[in-house]
Amino acid sequence: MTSAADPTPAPGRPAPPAAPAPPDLPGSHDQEHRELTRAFALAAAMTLLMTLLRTPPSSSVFLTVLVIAGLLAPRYLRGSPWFWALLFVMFLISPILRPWLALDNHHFLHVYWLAAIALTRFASRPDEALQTVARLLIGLAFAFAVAWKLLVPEFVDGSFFEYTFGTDSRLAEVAVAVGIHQDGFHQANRDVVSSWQEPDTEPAAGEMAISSSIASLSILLAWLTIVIEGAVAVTFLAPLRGRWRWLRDAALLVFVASTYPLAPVLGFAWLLICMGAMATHLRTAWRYGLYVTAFAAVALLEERAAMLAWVQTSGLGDVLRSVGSVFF
Amino acid sequence: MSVVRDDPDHVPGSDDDERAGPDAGPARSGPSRRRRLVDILIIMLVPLVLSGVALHQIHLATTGDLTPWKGGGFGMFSSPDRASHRAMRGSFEGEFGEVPVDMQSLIRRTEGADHKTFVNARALPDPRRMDPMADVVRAAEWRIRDDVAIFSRWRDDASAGDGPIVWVRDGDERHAARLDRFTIEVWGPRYRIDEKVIEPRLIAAHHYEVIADPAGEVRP
Repeated sequence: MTSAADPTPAPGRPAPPAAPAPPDLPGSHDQEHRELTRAFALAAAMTLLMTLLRTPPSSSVFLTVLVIAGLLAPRYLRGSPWFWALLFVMFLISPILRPWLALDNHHFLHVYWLAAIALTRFASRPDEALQTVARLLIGLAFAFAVAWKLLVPEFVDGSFFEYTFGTDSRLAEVAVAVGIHQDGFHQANRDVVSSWQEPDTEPAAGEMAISSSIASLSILLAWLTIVIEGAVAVTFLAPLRGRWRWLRDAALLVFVASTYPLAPVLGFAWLLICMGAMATHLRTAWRYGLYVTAFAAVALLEERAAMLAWVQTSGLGDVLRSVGSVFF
Repeated sequence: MSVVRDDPDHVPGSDDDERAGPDAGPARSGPSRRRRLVDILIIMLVPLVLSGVALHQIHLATTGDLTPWKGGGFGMFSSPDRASHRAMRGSFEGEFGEVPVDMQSLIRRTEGADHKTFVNARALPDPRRMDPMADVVRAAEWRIRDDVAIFSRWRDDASAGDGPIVWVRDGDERHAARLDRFTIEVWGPRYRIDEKVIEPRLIAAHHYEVIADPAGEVRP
């Protein structure tokens, strides 16, 4: 069904005549339809914006022009199946020029999401179909992520987090800022791994420089991650009804808030927010409030280094360390 | 509000199915049913592709040597074995004995298709990806300095079965040495949490016999 308020009539159908819209009854089908139309408008705008911000380096100028055109002409382009189909093809061509084994997982998800938008524009009820696909894509991505974490023994015993805090500068910076790790440990540990590339020495084991707080925290973080990611997978894949659907938004936004300040893969965060804004059943005000805020908050992570420096110099790090010392 | 089940615009699997009660009417036959089938396909196609790629990635990583971080299976942040922490090493065997190869001196100079070959081989060092890496090694001339083979320059006449050309200095003279075989290895990290030790782990080693000498004559 396509209402007069719907700017995206199904392909091949004449646009319905403009008629005075009846007043919305709470919970009515028309109102839900209008909510979905607004959800698509928001998700499409955020998707184009994040595509512009995270355009693959090897992409053509045409892709950038296409995205900007979509942002500037929402009425004429964003509702068109062909606009999204062209965008999908252009995007697919760009990262595929790189070796596929160099692609990160969110590059795959980005391609799937653009394909989903393009395909569902051809459905009888495009917005409703996209809402279902967004829910399934988030649920499946997290289900596979959890399956991997349960499959790898180094994850559940805390080895992964200990190793990663010790060797990944992004996590080490946060740990140093909040005072549970020492500056310099990360480089010493990376030197052990880098030395295996030296041709004149045999690859040798090296001792990991790690603080006792990180060692205590690692197993807890591992299981917390499994619980949060598992909650996203279950809530998005389960056929939740009515008021229980807010659990999806809660699980997804808790994941975004707890993960990306530590591991700032901003493209992944924005993508999940775009998909979440489409999958949600929240009313417009809540949807805009939560998902636009989350999108903007993730953008602030571009200034993560300055934020971490502030945490260190403001004394907040000392407070966090004091709190942490009670537990670890 | 109840939803009429023979609505031609009804999307199967959508929330309307949840709203429809037991009094929902029978499905309409003919074009409406075909339309519904198309809608199901539209909804399921991308999630099925995601699942297929992810299952393939899990298969490659658990039965092969693919790093869990790559390949579209959502295995990132689950294992220390990430592609950028893997190291590619090599060695040459010939008239000069066995010498290690400075692979970094080669990798730093790769670009375009050659660099893709390296990235692919490091992430999944199976014969399909390591054989092209061996061709990249073959496409170079090497010189031995301080008992290490170092990239010298690209050659333009390499072909399958050739060995890399290895120059050996003999006093003031230098000559292309006989090479019997070369090996390329990929190593990755393993973390032993109980001892707080980062250990190197040999992920794959591929050996390549050299069937032609530097002059291009096939040896028996």
